[in-house]
Amino acid sequence: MKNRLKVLRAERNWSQAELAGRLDVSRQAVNAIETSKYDPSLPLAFKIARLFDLSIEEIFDDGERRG
Amino acid sequence: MMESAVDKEANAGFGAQAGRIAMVALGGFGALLGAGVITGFIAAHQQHGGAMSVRDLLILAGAGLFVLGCLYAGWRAGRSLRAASAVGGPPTPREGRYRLVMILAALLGGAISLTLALQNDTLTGNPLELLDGPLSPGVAIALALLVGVLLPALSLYWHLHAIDEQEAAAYNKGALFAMYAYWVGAPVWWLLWRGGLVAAPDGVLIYVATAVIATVIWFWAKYR
Repeated sequence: MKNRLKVLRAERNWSQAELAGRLDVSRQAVNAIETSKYDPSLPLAFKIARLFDLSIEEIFDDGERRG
Repeated sequence: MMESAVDKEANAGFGAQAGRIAMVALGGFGALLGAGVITGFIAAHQQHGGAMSVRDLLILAGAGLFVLGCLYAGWRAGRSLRAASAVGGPPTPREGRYRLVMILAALLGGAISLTLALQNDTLTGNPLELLDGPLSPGVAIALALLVGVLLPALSLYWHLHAIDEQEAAAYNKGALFAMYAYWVGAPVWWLLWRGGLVAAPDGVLIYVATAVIATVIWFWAKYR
């Protein structure tokens, strides 16, 4: 699943480690999500959305367009 | 999207990190295996008596060099691992707990392996006896307590407080592959044995194979 996590993180000038600390996950997890190798769970997706003050759909794109 | 220098270095390091961890584990395992071979070889020689031949001494020297090589490789990988982990800033609290568990698990594994290497009673020099050779009852009970009580306690803490969901998913994937390898592999071997086509199923070998499959898939899923 594509996402804008890397862009959003860069806009705030956060390192992967800093974002990982804010989300209470490892840097490995942040890297895996940014590179679309791992899709976060719904609770983590909500946590990410709240952190950036955006909706989940504004961060993650599952490729399905609404009609 | 530009990648910061720190992120770039950190990203490039994730794959290498897996290699370093594997090298630390292999170095430790190889050193213990080599130490067990040396212990067994010397004990077997003492049982038979007589002076050591040049061939025996060469074997011992080779095993000694192997142990030293493994220790050196493990030490270098550990040093490199520590340096690479510092890239991108200090560890997050969760990563800190993860490292603590890994260190405790390594100490526990080292204690178990060292006990197995030094307490093996058959001592014929066959490295496989480290896995399934006879043990004295006291050592067997002590090791069973370490594996049966301490290891689950450490694992529970690791699952509840140290790993995050990405690692949990990787671990679950490894466990799934291992479970199917066991569910399929063990009965296939058993059936072929009943047909008189292969040797009797070896529980230790099946256990080791299951553990190796789980670990390899877990590592792949975590660091790919």
